[in-house]
Amino acid sequence: MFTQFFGQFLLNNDLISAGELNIVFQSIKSTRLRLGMIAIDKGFLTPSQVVVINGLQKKHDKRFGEIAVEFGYLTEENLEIILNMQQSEHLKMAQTIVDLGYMTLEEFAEAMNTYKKQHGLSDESFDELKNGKVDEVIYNIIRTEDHVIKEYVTLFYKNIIRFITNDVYISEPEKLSGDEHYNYLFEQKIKGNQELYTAYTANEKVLILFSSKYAGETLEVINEFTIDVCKEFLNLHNGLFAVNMSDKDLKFDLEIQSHKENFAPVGDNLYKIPFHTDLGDICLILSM
Amino acid sequence: MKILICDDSTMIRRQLTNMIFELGDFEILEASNGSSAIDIYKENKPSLVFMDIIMPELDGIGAVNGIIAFDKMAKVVMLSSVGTKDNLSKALKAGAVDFIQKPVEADILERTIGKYCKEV
Repeated sequence: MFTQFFGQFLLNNDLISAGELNIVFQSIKSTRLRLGMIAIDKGFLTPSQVVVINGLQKKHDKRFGEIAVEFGYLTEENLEIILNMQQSEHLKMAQTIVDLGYMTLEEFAEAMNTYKKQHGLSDESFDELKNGKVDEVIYNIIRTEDHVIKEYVTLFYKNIIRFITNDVYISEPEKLSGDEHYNYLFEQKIKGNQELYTAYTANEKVLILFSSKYAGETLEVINEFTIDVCKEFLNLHNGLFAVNMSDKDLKFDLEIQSHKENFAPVGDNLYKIPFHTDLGDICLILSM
Repeated sequence: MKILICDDSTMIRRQLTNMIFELGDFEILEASNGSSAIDIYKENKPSLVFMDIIMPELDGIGAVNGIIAFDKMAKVVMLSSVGTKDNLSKALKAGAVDFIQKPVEADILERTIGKYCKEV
């Protein structure tokens, strides 16, 4: 999850191109983590210290960890910690970017700091994000103080990961103009402590892939069953949301889910939140 | 042994049917709304009913009321994504014997069927 969010940040800030990011995502799986990269991430070493240690390695023909401890850059305890982190997925992205020559270690470290500041993340929250806890980052992207909306969007994100695909990140909400027509829209109203209009949409190709994943079978066209699957996903998500809210003593009841074709949802407070996935874009539409 | 699955989603009915067939030789009856579930129950008296809550025409709680009015011994298990305290309370009050939160997991389904259909 971190890789999607951070990749999007690099893209939005022109630190990497879309083509380069795509290559990074494709290359991550085969990347083997180096200890220097982990040590920078943990704050045990600076990028320039890693460069010095790499130079010493060439002279002394020893392993990175041995040199770092021998020359006093790392303690035995810190070396143990970074050795244990060698499988960390989130660091593979950093190393892949550096290896491909898209950024230097210094630029990458600087980008991480900027990302933390821009999203107002504490060291703890940033560590959580790197370990897959995305709540704070999502709150920051959707920029609302409404806790119900925060919970709703975060759960939608988690349900996409749980039921559809791991490869997802979101963009900032955009207000609906009222004249945006969608070929297929799946909607459900929620009533209770707060009234919510909830819907999502995607193009036909994405909906077919999306519903295939959710149903666990290959679907090839949009038909009654595909539409049923898409409606059921929204119903399940909203049901789980209502359960979570119920645990916080907030009451929400769902109306029957439905689907519309060639439809433009209208409302003063409707926003769309794009979810970018490896299947294509899915747009959550929500009253906020 | 008959099991009635009442859910407005074709996908859910299909998935549950497949999961139940894995567990034994059951006859599956299907309904896509609460009214239809009551009618099918009256005609077939299934051993167990899996009942969704949010459905068109008549919701799951209304259907449980209808089924229990006909057969006080009916075994209806709610199977819904909306397992809120409120719904749980309403379902049990109406006479449901159990509540399964969607998405349903195979082992929970097996345990539930084992509990209410003694042959499994």
